[in-house]
Amino acid sequence: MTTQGVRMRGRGRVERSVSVAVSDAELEFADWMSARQGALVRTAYLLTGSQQAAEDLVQATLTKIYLAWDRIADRQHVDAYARRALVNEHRSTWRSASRRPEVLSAVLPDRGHEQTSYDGEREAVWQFVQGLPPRQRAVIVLRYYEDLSEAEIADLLGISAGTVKSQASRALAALRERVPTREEER
Amino acid sequence: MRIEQRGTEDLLRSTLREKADEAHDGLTFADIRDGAAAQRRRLRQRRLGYLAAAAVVVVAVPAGVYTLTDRDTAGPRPPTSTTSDGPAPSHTPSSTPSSQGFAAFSRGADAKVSYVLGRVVHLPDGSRSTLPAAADDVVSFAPYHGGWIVLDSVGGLAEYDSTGAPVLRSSQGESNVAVSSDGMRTAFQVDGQTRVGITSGMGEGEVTHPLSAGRLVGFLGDRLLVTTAAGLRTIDDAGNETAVPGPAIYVPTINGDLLGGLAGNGEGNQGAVVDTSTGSVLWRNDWRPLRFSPDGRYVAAAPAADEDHPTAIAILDARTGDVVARTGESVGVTLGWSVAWDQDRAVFEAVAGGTQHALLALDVAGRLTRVSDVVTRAPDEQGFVFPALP
Repeated sequence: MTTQGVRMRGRGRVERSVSVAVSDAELEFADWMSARQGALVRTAYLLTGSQQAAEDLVQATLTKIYLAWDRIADRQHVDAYARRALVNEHRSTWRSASRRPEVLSAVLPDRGHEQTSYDGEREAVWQFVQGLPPRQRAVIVLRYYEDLSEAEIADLLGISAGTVKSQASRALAALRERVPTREEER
Repeated sequence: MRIEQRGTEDLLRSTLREKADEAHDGLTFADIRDGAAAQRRRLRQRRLGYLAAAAVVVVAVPAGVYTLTDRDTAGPRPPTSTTSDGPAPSHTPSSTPSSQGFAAFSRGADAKVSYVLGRVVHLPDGSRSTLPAAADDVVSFAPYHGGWIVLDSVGGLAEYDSTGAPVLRSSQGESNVAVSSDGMRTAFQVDGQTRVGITSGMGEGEVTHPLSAGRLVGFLGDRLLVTTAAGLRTIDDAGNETAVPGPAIYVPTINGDLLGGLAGNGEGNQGAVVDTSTGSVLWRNDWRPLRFSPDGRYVAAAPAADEDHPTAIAILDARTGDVVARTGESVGVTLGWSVAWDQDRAVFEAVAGGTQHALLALDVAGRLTRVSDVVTRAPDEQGFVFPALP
């Protein structure tokens, strides 16, 4: 255990100027947090659709990892652990919000008849993603932002790889109808 | 068509990258450290709830022994259902100070159940064993191959042998531990696998199954029971998965072929018991099954609408859902969700004043008594922790 002002070396954006007792493990955690927080927040933002919800999700995730830090023996795997914790935390949030059996959406949300000009194309895509049911949105984010394989996504979300594939496929098909790409328009 | 798909995928990727860059991080190390301290407190408090005890009964019977009347009802009832025997005296629970705590309960015989208090394992025969010093913040445990499987409050799992030496520690993901109805087999989920072995003794190997998509919840007969996105599944020793017939059940308790738990209907929670041999729903009402009695005749339950803590505990007929006995209105002690059975008594933890812990027991005759000494625990320490139960 060392006593240091936790502004040192900018670790984990530890900006309090007061000195607190910080263990070596906490320093290690702060280093890791500093390096990974940005990526976690970006993924959380895509999953939740809002900055505040993303911060809440990342805070819950980082807290969980902090509490488990001593038993994460293999530091090489901590990033994967963090991603899993983030997704698990997100899953628990959407599940507790509606304690009923989850039903995979075969019918995508009706976003009305938005005019999707090329200038607003990405905004239309974002609106579409935000309108997806939570798990289907998670599939899309993990597949097309995190670039995870179908098997990895299935593992993270606790669903079959076939379900991942069908959910992504349905979303893409609906997106093509809703937001034609430039290539299709030509 | 292929070009269309590529174009859509590229558009999706570029949109997500662009949108992700709008997010900004603002958390400090202190936020996390402080949040972790608060979470430890919340995890503990979440397990507890305010105990209900009927108003009139408080004065109608000797202190702490509550005669319960709702024998033919199916669902938590307001306390008015037990107040029809004359005017309420002046010292009803509304004037009963919460500081009364465990003084309101008569002392019954010690509960013959297993539990951990601190690191000391108390067994039904009165013997004790001590978990290794590394076993911290225990929320569940089970005997395994002569040693112990221990689960901590953040989902970490550790296995210790009979000497207390560590055998295994989870390194990623959430873990869980379960014991078969006959108490002979223990299963645990760790790092994407489930391992199944005998509860006590050595010399018999484990069976390991991959469990990348699902969460271990227990045994259904000889098979593992896991929750998956597609519902409850069983897995046999060969790794074959089978869907469990009947409606979706959450947070299940198991006895033989009976499966009880929350059965959400989209308009509010209900509890239900399903006979998995036929898939038929034996009953569905406003009580949420928590734990079957070992003989499967009864099930301890709490109001299905309760979320943070149970407002009452009841004993139901497991096959009909009829209330056999129940607690009533709050007298200011808090109770936990976990239930163990000592013959026909449902045993659960209660806390008074935040630091005073004791076990209470509700029996099928409706008597509610204290069945352990009162112990003091710091606010951030776990109290009585029951082992993983069927």
